[in-house]
Amino acid sequence: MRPPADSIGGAVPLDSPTLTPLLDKLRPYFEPGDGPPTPLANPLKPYMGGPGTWLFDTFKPQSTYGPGPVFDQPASLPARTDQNAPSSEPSIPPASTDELFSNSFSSENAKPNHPQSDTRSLDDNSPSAQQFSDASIMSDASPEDWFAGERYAQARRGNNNSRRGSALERPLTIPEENNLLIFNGQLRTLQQLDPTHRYLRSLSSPDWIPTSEDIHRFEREIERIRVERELWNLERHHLLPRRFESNFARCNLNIENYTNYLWRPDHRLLPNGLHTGPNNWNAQWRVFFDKYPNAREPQIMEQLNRMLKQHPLWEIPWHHNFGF
Amino acid sequence: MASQFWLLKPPPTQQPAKEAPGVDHEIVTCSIRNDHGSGGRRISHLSVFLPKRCSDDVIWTWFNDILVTQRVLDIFQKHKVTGYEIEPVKTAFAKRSETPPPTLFNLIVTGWGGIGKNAGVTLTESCPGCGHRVYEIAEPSRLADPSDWDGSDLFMVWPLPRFRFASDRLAQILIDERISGIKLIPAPKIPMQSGEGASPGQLRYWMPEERARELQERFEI
Repeated sequence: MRPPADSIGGAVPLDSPTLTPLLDKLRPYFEPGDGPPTPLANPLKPYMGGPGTWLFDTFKPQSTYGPGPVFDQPASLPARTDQNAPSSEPSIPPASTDELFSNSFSSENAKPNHPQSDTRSLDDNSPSAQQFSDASIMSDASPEDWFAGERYAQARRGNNNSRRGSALERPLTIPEENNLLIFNGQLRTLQQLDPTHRYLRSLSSPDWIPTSEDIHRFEREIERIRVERELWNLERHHLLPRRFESNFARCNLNIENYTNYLWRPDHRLLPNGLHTGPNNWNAQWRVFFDKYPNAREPQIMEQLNRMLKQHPLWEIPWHHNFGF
Repeated sequence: MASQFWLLKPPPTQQPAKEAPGVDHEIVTCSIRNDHGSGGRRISHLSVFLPKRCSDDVIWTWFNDILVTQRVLDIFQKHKVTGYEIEPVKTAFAKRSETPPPTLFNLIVTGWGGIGKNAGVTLTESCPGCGHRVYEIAEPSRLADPSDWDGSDLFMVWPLPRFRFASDRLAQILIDERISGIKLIPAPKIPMQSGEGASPGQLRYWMPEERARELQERFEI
């Protein structure tokens, strides 16, 4: 259903009686003579909930407003600025994404007319106040209000575990990291086979972690293209070797869930094939089971992780977001 | 021969035998962690697929089980080699072959080389739910220690039951009798770095129950 013309994202009409008190409350934060606040057109950002979110994001604040959330849009777009701003107001220079990332949101520019910051004292010991006083904070948008698929400056902190721009505040677990590495392997192959494939045009949020189903989805697609084009030198490599299938099965690991497609020279041809040389893929697993004949799933996952990270085939040259 | 003990390893050129489907193992479950499920002791005889070319006296599996021919057993008996038991093995060639597969026996090592007192073996993880243990070995080159050795020609050192060691005497027999399919590495040159881990399971997974119980009680492992 199309939203009424005077509504924001089809959520609540601006003249709704429930909003009037709120709008009155916010009026001092807008310049005199600004008239009723008008929503900014932001086609990239639908209303997605969160109390106050749409107000916060759709009204143009004064110039003291910090960089705020950084949207994943071309750097040439003046993110978070209103081109129709009245001339009486000092205009905010269009900022590139990189500039916004490099700016820190200091308590100084957060304080004056920020709709939220003036309601609390920065001396407050509350966690939110501490958050505001933290010099490392680059965006004041609460992670709870973030929109999927958009990149926030704040996400740059908190996770140094090989993921750029991750919104996760915790390091990845080993199985998650393995999924990411395996998924990147599939992604690389699909990109080689069909750079315009629709799967590669999808967007993901920074904190997205591929599941086995995602990996299978890509694998099925690669297999389809492989058969269609008769690419028989594209081979399926079992990361958990079939030789040790019984051992993996006893640890409830299905080796079919851990595969990547490799070109034959990378897979099993001299000089650099994975299955060639004294330190080949299966030999490494053999050495592992010598020392860990009674390995459990976490140990096996750790070993797989080590092997994937050591091999140049699984280097991650790009962020796992598809936006490359 | 300079070294007192020797580590037995497969030659790099030998194609290992693959365990055939249907070999049963105990199922180990953990009351605490879901990801601690594992296999325990093998409860059926080993059954393997052999590679097409396997003319060696000793054949190794991917899991480093040592399979020996009747000739090797005869030599062992002749020289009164100690520290092992044998188990029958079902064999078949992985690919169709006109010749029948050789008769092989699984060599179960029962000799004991101690618990690596001088190698700095420490227990780093122990799960009360399933008994899973992880050890760390500070100095693997000192694992085979004459002070802990029970005098057997073939022996293992805890916590590395898949590493089989031979006495100097046995090493000499293997060389003199030209037994093929075995590589001898001096024990101090064990291919393991200091600080590496090991997760052996229980001793009874790797040797006869009675012998394992005796050693477990004596060494509290």
